[in-house]
Amino acid sequence: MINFILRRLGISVLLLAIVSVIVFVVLRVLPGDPTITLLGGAQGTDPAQVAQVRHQLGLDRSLPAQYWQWVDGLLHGHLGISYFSQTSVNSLVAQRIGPTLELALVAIVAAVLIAVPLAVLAALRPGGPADRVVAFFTTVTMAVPPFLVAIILVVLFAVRLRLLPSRGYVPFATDPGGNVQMLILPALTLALAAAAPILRFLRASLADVAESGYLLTAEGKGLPWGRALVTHALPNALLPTLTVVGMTIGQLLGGVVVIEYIFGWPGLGSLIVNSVLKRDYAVLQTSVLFAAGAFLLCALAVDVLYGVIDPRLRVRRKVASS
Amino acid sequence: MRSSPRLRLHTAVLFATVGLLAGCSANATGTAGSTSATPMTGGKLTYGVAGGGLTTLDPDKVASAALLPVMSLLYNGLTQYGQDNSVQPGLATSWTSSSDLKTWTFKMRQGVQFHNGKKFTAQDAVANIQRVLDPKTGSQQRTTLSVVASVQAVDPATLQINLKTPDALLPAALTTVYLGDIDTIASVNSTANGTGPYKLKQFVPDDHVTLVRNPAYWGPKGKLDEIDITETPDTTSAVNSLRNGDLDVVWNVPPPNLTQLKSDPTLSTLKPSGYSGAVVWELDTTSPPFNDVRARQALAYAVDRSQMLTTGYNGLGVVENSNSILSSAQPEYDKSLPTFDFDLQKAKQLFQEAGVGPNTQLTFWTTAGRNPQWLTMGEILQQDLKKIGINLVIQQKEVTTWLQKFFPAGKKYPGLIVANYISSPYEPSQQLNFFQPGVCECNWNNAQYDQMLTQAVGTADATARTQVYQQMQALENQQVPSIVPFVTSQFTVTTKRVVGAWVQSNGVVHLENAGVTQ
Repeated sequence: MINFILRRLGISVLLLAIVSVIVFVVLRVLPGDPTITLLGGAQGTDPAQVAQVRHQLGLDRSLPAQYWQWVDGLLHGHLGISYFSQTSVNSLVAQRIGPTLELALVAIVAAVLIAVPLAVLAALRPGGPADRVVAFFTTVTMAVPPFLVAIILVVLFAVRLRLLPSRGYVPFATDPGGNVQMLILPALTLALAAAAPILRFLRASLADVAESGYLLTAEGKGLPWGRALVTHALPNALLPTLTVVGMTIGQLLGGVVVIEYIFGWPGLGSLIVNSVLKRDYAVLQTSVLFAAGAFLLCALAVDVLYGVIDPRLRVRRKVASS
Repeated sequence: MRSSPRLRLHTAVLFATVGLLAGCSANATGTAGSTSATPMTGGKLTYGVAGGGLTTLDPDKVASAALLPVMSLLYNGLTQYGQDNSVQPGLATSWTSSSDLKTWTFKMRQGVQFHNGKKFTAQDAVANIQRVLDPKTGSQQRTTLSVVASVQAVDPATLQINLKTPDALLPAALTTVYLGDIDTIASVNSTANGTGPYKLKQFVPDDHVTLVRNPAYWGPKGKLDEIDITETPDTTSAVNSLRNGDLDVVWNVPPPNLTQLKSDPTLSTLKPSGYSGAVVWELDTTSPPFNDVRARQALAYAVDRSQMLTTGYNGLGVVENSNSILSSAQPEYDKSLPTFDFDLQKAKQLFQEAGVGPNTQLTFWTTAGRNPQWLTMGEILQQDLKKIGINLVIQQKEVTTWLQKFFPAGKKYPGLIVANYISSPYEPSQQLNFFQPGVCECNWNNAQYDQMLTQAVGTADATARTQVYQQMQALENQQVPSIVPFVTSQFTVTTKRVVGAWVQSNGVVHLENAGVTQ
């Protein structure tokens, strides 16, 4: 197990190194120039002024030198300095990580709470009315883009009914009630989007398990079908679903750009978009790398959890490695 | 001043979308809310900046028009614009100039202190101006002060500024130079140590700024306990937030959204008392085909200005049909200017004389994701040019890419028509200086025009100065260094509970005296 984790960690580090090169190069290939953006189109700017700013930002150095400066900083815990706010990326990310974590975790928990009961309900009688309604729900929530769902929710709950705020964020520590109120709509939007794939996957793997012999045996011994499904089929069906959940968390941790934008949620996603628009390479390259790291970490966690939850996998691995 | 002041900000454009608007009539009220309601002291106001741009609190690095309202809450200038577009005392209480207009003396306001309690003196003004002038600072305001030769504190209450060339309008130029405490400037994003009516509570770059009242303010104290300034990148959601009251003020609302809000009785639209913003289509006057004045004049005749104002800007602006960048509401505007009434036949003929025949291709270069109104204008032009055989290709580029093509001045961009918006203070010299070399990306270099501008700013008598301004407009109108379809502004919407907010002619919102009624 330890070997497995170490090997996976090694691969993850390698992947991150590759990602860092790709991100670094892609940003510099993009048209646009942070120097120009920084000068803001200020009137009467002359080329000397542009050169001065470029020098101050270190953008006049060779690409390998710039890359090495960035990586060297990363290795020493200095994530860089924003070209625009002159704030360290450490503190920019620190300001943003909390809201993103909160939104991601609440959304994923809500998504699971929506997906699991509905999947069981649908699997109780495949092809029955409940299954069809759930299938319809899944299709709609997968087909409708989240930003549209967000706007519909805002118009309904914030503008018409005036039950919830349309946007904003306060830290939980400052105002727990306000925090929860502001969290509901963005979390619900995300949960609806994230629930659909989990639901579909779980529904399909429940159907698989439902056909296995031990479930028929359980039913034959007099266990009601519903109970058999929940107590025997569900735990087994949940295992593969874990992968979907893990990947979804990984994506959410990178910041959910559109949703954060619409709801004014100050997370990593909006930080990344702002940095793209301004070509704030310093912030952008580190945040993207951070998002990639979060995704890899989640994938790793899922694999490890597999082993913990399912003894069969552990045994098999032992056999294989011996 | 030779070169320009204006934080013009293509501004606005930068992260802002330029929205637009304003409307209608130059004498519309500039103050929010009903006049009968009196604001209470206290309460909180949430101000949304559509498009973003809250990057820094450094008063010398204002890269986006979105920052200007924040600056005037945290800091003061030596001078400031009043609601009537006059230049009024700020941290300077009075000023005089030598008869040659090259030496200016400012008396500092007494008893002013920074937010951290430090006393404000003339030495602080010196430190700020020197920092702006230092090329290493990379200040966007440096060109505003390029006329300054030296600056010194004669005594703690007296500031002297020596100029390279005579300038009667230095006090107006100083309105955009905000003074902060240079001793603590390294930590400006956490301290923002200014002298303004509100002081910093919290700043998360590119997200929000929270300000609280400065109880020691030297002027009328702020009415609000707290002002929360927040980025609202998505305009549709910002508009929804206005309607349900989560936002009280939204700056830079694009015209399409404006129409949608017009019918809502709980909202009002702030209009400046006069416009000093203009839609400008920049042309490279040093590359074909627009290096030929006839091609530029031809294009001016091909612009259906009224249609564009109506369709693109919902009528929120003023069409002069001349090519002056000034508004006809300004006394300096030359009402005798020949006009470019929409006339495709004339356009066709002039294009032909300039060698721009049928099947020529031109490009309309505009922004993607913002300024949908520019695209509309481009589409109208496209259809009209097609009628005279010219093929206009419209290219929308994301703002940084868009800007890089033509900024800074000196770049070549043959065959491009660059959609842009220029906002300036309500001072003709600061509007007209846009066409100076090194300022306008149109690369127009007309010695006579520059000489007249130098003459105008060096003229103390307002009537004599206006005459020069009118000669400049005549020259510009004949030479058409760029196309000015119409004058307009940026548009701000507030809920009715907001009282005392007003909009400057260049579209900047002032919340210094704003309050809420409930």
